[in-house]
Parts: sequence; C-alpha cells; structure tokens
Amino acid sequence: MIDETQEFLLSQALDGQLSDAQIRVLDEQLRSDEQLALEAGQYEKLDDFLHGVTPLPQKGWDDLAAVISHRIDLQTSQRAASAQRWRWAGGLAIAAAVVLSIGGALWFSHAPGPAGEQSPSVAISTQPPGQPAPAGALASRGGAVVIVGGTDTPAVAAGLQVQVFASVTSHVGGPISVQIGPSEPRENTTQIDVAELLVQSTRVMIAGGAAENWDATRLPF
Amino acid sequence: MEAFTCLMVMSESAESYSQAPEPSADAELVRRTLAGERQAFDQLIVRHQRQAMAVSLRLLGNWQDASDVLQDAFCKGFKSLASLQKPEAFGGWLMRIVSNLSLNYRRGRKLRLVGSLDEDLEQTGQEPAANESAGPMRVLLSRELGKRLTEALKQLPEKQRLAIVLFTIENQPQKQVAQTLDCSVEAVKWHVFQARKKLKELLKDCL
Repeated sequence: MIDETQEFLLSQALDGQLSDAQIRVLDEQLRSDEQLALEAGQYEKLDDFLHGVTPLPQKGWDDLAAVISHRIDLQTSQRAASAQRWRWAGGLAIAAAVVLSIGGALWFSHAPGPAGEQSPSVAISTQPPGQPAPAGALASRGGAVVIVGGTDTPAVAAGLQVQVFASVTSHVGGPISVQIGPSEPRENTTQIDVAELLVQSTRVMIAGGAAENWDATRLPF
Repeated sequence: MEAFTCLMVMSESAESYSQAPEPSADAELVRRTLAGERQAFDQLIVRHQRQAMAVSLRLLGNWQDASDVLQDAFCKGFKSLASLQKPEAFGGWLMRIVSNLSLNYRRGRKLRLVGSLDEDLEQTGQEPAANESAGPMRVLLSRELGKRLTEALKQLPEKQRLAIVLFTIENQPQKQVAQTLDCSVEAVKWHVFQARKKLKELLKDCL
C-alpha cells in the first residue's frame, strides 16, 4: 500500500520539484519497493499521455485571430454607437425634464389650491395689506391695493387661477411690496412684476404700475 | 532507478513544451494598446490565442465552444485592459479570464452534446502527437485514449482540472497557475497531485 506522501513525492518528481537529497531518497525507495515503482511507472505513463495529446491544429490561427480582432472592433463600434445613443437619450431626457419642470411649474402656479383654501378669483380692494376685501371688490385710487381671492371669475372656470393674494403697498415712484399668497411675502422692485404676475394668473392688467393706474375696465369681472 | 530516470526525462520533456510568450513584450503591447494603438492588441491575440485555445479546449472538450469562449475572453480582456495592474502579467490574467469563462460556459450547460475533443481533432485534421520514435508509451496517444482522457478530465473537480490542464498539459509556471486559481503555489502542487491521482485511477486500465 502506497501512502499519499510517497505518491505526492512521485508527483513532485514528475514536475522536477524535488531536491537532490529527495531524489536520492526516492530513488532508493523505488529500487526497494516494487509497488512504489509500479505506481511511479503509472504516473509516468499518465504524464506522458497528458503531454502527448496535442490537439491544436497548426493552421487556421490567422483566421481565428482575425475573427477575434473583428469582433473586438465590432463591439467597440457598438459600444461607441450605444454611448452615442445614450448621449442623445440623455440630452432628450434633460430636455424633457426641463420642459416637464417648466410645465409642472406653470401647472402648479395655475392649479387651484386644496379645497377650502382656494381663492381663485381676483378682486381689487382698498383694504390695507393683510386684510383682504371680499371677492369682487375693486381697487380705488390711493391707499393700498389688495388683490384677494374670490370664487366666481372666468379665469377660475378656465382653470387658470392660482391662489393669488397680492397687496400693493406703495405707489408709483417707489418700490412696490407685493405679497403673493397668504404666507409668502415677496419683495418686488417694479410694478411690472406685479403686472406680469397678475396678467398670467388672473388676467388683471396693471397699466403704468401704480395703484392709481389700475385699469379696472380690463378686469375679467 | 530506471523508472525514476524516466520520471526525470518526463520533467525535462515538459520544459520543452513551454510556449509562454515573453512577458516584457506583452507589457509593451499592453501599454501600446492602452495608448490607443489598436493593432497592438492584435499582436497580443496572435501571441496568446494558442495557449488560450488549448486551455479552453481542455476545459470544454469542444473546439467550437472553446472558440466562442476565446472570442469572449479576448473581447473582455480588451475591454478591461485598463484594469490590469501588471501589464507583464497579461498572459496569466488572460488565462484566468479564459478559465473562468470556460468554467462558466460549462456551468451554463451550453456545452454541445455532440462533438468531443477527439471529433474536433478529426475535423481539424489533427492527430494526437503520437511519436513512434518515442517508444511504446506513445501508443497510448491513440484516438480512443484521447477520448478517454477528455472524459476523465471532465470528471475532475474544477480546480484540479484547471491545475492539471494549465500546469501539466499547458506547462504554465506554477506561479501563474496559482494566480489563475487564486491560490498558493503549494495549493497548485496539491491540486496537480490530486488530479494526477484521480486520472490515474480513471485511466487505470490504459496505463
């Protein structure tokens, strides 16, 4: 019975891994142990067999190299095309995102507020800022102009209204403080800002920008 | 003494099988490829395709499958060449890719049911390298035995199979095989030994 250590030494000998001393020891063992010598012979034949099988053809390698090279080129170009497509798609996605963002912003800026908080129509009142007048009230000359929400204007029906609560607290010749919404004060330095905002959302026109110049005739109500 | 002398002769014979391309030349070609010289990689293909094919063929036993794997391996190698830490180790790195892809291919049950290594040899017009002048042991290199060897190799665990294929059959340095198998050189020696032991049992009636 051959132990595994001796077999391992045989394997090492086949691979040329043994030292001179190990070779001498193994040589002695091979001479004195027939079973070990038989095993060694089998390992030798096996290795000869393993080394001897050479299935690779001698020709056709240039073709195979060309096929591989072509495939690499193909994949490279496909990756480049794919990257190009992704760049286009990315650009389109960004453009779409921008459009959607703008659209969304416009939508939300025009969308009615939650039930109970809506003040969809516009009126112009002489009430002081922070004290909205009833819907439908109109601005008068002088004093603060307060634009408050109402419920029954065409703009509301058209879905164009936003929750508008703006008060103009100063007149022409100076900066105008505008409050939009009940809790979102903003400082605008020109009357035009007010006009544009209101034109967009309520179709109220402010001519000249001053409270005195509100064109009440162009109000939609 | 005679038996041992034969063992030593076999060892020397194994040295003569070595066809590993020069690592420094590989490193230069890798650098040129990374610098954008696409043709440099073609040279790497030419230099390594035989050994890569031999490894894949031993693992898959089928020329067509091995050819497919080889294409995938080189494509993968080209794509991830920048990740190669040591350009001079391109050969071992590529063989690792080839080995892994071949084993994955096997696991994926994509092996063709028809066509053994022996049949592939017939298709390519090749015969086992039987050399009558080498003595009676070369008689073992008949077609039937080639087929038996292929079947026996298939029965080995993956690491043992890879170790015996890369080291004993393809004559790769143990260090390179260790890198491919992701283990120590000592472990490679052990895998080779275990593979030999099992093959000896499987092919007992032929030896």
